[in-house]
Amino acid sequence: MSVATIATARDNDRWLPLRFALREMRGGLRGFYVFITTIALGSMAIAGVGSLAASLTSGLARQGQVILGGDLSFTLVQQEVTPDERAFLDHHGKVSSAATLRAMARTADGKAALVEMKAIDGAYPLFGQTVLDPPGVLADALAQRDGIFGAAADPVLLTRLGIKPGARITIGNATIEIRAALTSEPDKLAGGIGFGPRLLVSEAALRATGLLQPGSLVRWHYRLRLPANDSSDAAAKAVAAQARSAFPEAGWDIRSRSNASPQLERNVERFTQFLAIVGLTALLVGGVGVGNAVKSHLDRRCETIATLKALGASGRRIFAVYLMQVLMLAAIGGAIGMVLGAILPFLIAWTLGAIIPLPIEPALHPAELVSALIYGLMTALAFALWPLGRAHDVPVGALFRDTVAPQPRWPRKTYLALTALAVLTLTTLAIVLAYDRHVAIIYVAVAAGVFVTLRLVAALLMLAARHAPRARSTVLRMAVANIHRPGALTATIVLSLGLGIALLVTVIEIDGNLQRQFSNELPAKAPSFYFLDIPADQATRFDAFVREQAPGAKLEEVPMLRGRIISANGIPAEQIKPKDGAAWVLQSDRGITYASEVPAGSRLVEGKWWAPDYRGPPLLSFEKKIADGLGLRLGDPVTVNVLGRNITARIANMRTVDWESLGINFVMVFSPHAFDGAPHTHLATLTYADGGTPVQEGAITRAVADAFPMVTALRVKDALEAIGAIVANLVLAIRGASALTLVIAALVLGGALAAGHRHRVYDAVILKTLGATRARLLAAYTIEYLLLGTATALFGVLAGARARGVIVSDLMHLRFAWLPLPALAAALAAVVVTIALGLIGTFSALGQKPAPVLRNL
Amino acid sequence: MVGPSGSGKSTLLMVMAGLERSDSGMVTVAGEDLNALDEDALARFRGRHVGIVFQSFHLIPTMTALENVAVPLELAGIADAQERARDELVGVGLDGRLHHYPAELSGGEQQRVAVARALAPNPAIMVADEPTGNLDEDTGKQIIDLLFAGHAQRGSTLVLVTHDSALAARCGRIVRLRSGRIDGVSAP
Repeated sequence: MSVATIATARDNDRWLPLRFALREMRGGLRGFYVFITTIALGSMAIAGVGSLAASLTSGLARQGQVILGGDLSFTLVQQEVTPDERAFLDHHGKVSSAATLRAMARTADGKAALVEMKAIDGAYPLFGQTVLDPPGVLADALAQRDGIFGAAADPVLLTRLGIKPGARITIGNATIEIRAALTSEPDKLAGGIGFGPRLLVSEAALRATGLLQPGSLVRWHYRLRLPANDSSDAAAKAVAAQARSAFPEAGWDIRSRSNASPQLERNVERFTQFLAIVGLTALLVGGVGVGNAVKSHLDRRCETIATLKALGASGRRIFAVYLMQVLMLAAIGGAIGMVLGAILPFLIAWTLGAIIPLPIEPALHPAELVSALIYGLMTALAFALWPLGRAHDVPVGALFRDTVAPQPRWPRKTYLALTALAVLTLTTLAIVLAYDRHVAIIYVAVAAGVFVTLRLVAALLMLAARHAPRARSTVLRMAVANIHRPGALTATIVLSLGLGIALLVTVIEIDGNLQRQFSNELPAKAPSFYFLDIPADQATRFDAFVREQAPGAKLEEVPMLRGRIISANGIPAEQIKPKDGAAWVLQSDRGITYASEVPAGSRLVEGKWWAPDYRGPPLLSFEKKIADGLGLRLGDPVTVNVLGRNITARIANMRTVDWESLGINFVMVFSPHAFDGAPHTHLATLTYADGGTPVQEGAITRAVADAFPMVTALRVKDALEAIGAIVANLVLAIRGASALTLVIAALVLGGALAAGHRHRVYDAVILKTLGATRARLLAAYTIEYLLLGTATALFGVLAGARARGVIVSDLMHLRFAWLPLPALAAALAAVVVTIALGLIGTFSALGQKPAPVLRNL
Repeated sequence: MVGPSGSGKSTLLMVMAGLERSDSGMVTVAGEDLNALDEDALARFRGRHVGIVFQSFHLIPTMTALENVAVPLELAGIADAQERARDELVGVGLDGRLHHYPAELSGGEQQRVAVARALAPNPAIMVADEPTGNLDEDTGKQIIDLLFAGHAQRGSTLVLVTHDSALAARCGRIVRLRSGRIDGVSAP
C-alpha cells in the first residue's frame, strides 16, 4: 500500500463508526421514541426552569430601580431621618420618602380590616408609575379636600369592607376618603409579603391619624434618585459608602438598585433549585428509559453485531459504532428539549405574565440551554455505557447456532470505569451548578439511595420468585417464572415504576405537609390574634378591656422594640458569614424585648438568667441555634441599633425557643433596664382555649378597633392564609414539574413493557400451540404484573416516604405528619397503571396467530 | 467436515476462524498463533485472513448489498472498499442488485452477497457452515460453485461443514468428527 493510500485509509477509519452508525439508523428511529422523548422532556425541564429563573433574575436586575423605588434606598425603623441625614440625601439627588405601617381601617357600619398603609410624599414615585382606577393624578387622589384626606386602596380592601371609591373609612383618629382603587404600585415587590391590602395615603394624612406614636412599628423609606449624569452602579455604591461612614449610628438599612430585593432573589433561586431538582429527577427517570432502549436495541442488533465481529470488527469498534448512535439520539432529544425549554419563559410571560407579580423578561439564555443539553447527553451516557459495554462481548459463535440470544453479563472494567465516570460527571455537574450545594448533595445521596434500593428490590424479587415453592396452578407458575426467567422485565419495571411512585409519594407528602402547615391545622395552642402597637401608657387599660371582652381567653403582653444587629463579637453585621438557618436575623430589623424572667415558651440551656432587680450593664439572652449559626458564645458582645442608638450588651445566657407554637418569641431578650427611657409599644397575643370561632374573632376585632384605634389586630389565620396562598402557587409549580416526571416514568414503563413484547409474542405463540387458552395467558400476565406492581409500589412508597422525610424535616425544617391515604392511593394507582400498560401490550400478543410466527422463528 | 449434530464441527470451525478460543493446545492459521493474539488482533486477523459464509446468511439488514460486501474491506481500512465490493458483486452475478437491501433479495441472492462478502478481502481461508442448508437444490449448487471457483481462482483454503455427502466428495479432504474428536481424515 502506498503512503497516500494508508493516509486515506486512516482518514477513512476515523469516520467509520459514524458511517456505520448512520447506516444502522436507516431503519428509522423506531424503538428510540421513548429514548428521545425522555431525554427531550428531561432537558426541556432543566432548560425551561433555568431560562425562566434567568429571565426572572434579569427582570429583577433590570427593573431594580422601579422595584426599589430609587437608585438607593435608606430604611429606618420607628424613626425618621435627622435633618443632617436628610441634607446629605438631598445633596446627592432627588429624594422621596414613604412611611409604611400596619393599621386598622374601620367603616361607619362597624367593619374593620387590617391594612398595609403607605404614606408618600409629593415626589413619589421616583421610578415607574402608579395606576389608579378611575384614572387620575395620584397627588389629587390623596389631597385634602374639605378637611378630608384622600386615599387609593387595593381593590381587595374595597371588597373586604364592602365599599366603593367615594366611601369613607377611619384610620386611627383620621377620617379618610377612598378616591380610587390602586391597580398598580411600582415598588410593591420590595415590600415582601403583606398581611393586608395596601392603602396609599399622603404623609400629612398619616400624621393626622395619630398613629405615629413613639415606638410604633413604622418604617421610613427614603429613596434617592441620583442625577442623570452620574447614576452609574459605581456612583450608587460610592454614595452608600459615604452614607455609612458619615452616619455610622444612623441604623439605616441601605440597599441599591442592583440588589433591590435580595430576599426575593434568594427565594427565586431557592425555588428554581427545587424545580431544577424535579427536572433532574425527570432526567434520571428518563435515563432508565434510555438504558432500557439501548439494551433492547442492542439485543435486537445482536446478530448484526456478531456479523460485524465475524467480518473483522473489534469489540471496541462495535462499542464506538453504537456509542455514536446513542450520542446522536441523545443530541436529537437534547436539542428538542433545548428548543422547548427556551420557549418556556416566553410562553409563561405571554400566558401568565399579567398574573404573576414578578418581572419576567423572557430572553434566550444560552448558558442555561447548553447546560441542559450537557445534562441530557451525560444522562444518556451514564445509562447507556453499561449496555453499550456489553455489546463489546457479544459472542460471534452464536451466529453458528440457532438463535443469537442476549447474554446478560457484566461489561468489561473499562466500560464500568466509563460508566462510573459519566455518573460522577453528572453528579458533579448537579452539585456544582446548584444554588445550594448542601441541598444538591442531599439530593444526589437520596437519588442514589433510591436507585440502589430499587435494584436490590428487583434482585430480591427475582431471587424470591426463583425459590418460591412450585405453585399447583399452571397460571401462577407461569407468572412466577416470568418474574425470574432470563431476560425478565423485573429490573426495568421495578426501576421505572419504583422511581415514579417514589417521586409521586414524595410530592404528595410534601404538598400535603405544606398545605397542612399553612392552611388547615394550627398548632394546638396557637394564638388567634397578635395586637401590635399598643401604646405603653394604654397597656394596662388594653389588658383589662380585652380580658373583659374575651373572658376565658389567654392574653399575653410584652414590651416590644425593633432593632438591627450592627455587630456581633466585634464583627460588623455585613461581614458575618452566618450558617443558612441564621442569616435571616441579620437581614433587617428584628423585634426585641426585655424581661426580668425567662419568657414563656423559652427554655434556658446555657448560662444564668439575670437577677430580677439587675441594674448593671446591659445583658442579653440569645436563642441558642441562631447564636450557633452566627458563631456567638456566652460573654460575646452584640451591638444593636434601637431608635438610632447603638446599644451593646453581652450574652449572658442562651435559650431554646419553640417557634412553631406561634406564641410571642424573640431571638434576643435584654435585661430589664437595657432600654431605659426608650419609647416603645407593647405586643400582645390572645389565645382562645378552643381555638376561637369566627364570630368571637369578628367581635373582638371590632371592639378593639373601636376602643383602641391605634392598635392593630393581626388575625393569625389571615396571616397564615396570606402565606398559604403563596405556598399554594409554589405547590402548583412543583406539581406541574412533577407531573412531567410522572409522564416520563409512565413512558419509560410503557417502553420497558413494549421492549418485552417480542418475548411475549414468542411465549404466547408457543404456549398457545401447546394448548393454553387466551384466558389462561391473560390470567398469568395479570398475576405477573400484579405481583411486580405490588412489590414495587410497596418499596416505592417506602423510598418516597424516606425522601419526603429528608426534604420536609432536614431541608424545609418543618414538622411533618405521615399522610397514609394519599400515599396508598398513589401506590394503588401505580399498580393499576402497571397492569393496564402491561395488558395493553399483551393483548396484541394474545391475538397472534401461531402459524406465521412459528414459521419465522 | 462431516459428522453428526453435536460432534463439534461448528466449534472447530469457530476456533479456526478465530471466533472462539481453544481451551488447550495451539491453533495456527496462516502462520499466526491465534491463542497469542488479543481480541483486537483476532478481529484484525479475521478481517484480513478469514472469510465466513453462514447457513442463515447473516447480512446486515440496514445495509445495501454493496455496503454489506464493503464492510470487511472498510474495517480493514482499505480506501477503495466500495469499488472492490462492486467488483465482487459483479463476480457473483449480482450487478443489477447492488443497491438492494437484504429484505429485497431472494435467499439465493442473499447467500451470493454473503459469498461475495467472504471473498472480498481475498482471505487465506474461507469457512462455510452448511452454506446451502437454507436453499433449494439448484440455488445451493450455484452457491457451491461460486465457493469452489473462489477457492480455485484465489488459492484460498475452503473449509466446509456439510451433511451432503456429494458436496463432501468435491473436497480435497474429508474430516470426520465424532463426540468432539477427529474420527478420521480421508481423501474422497
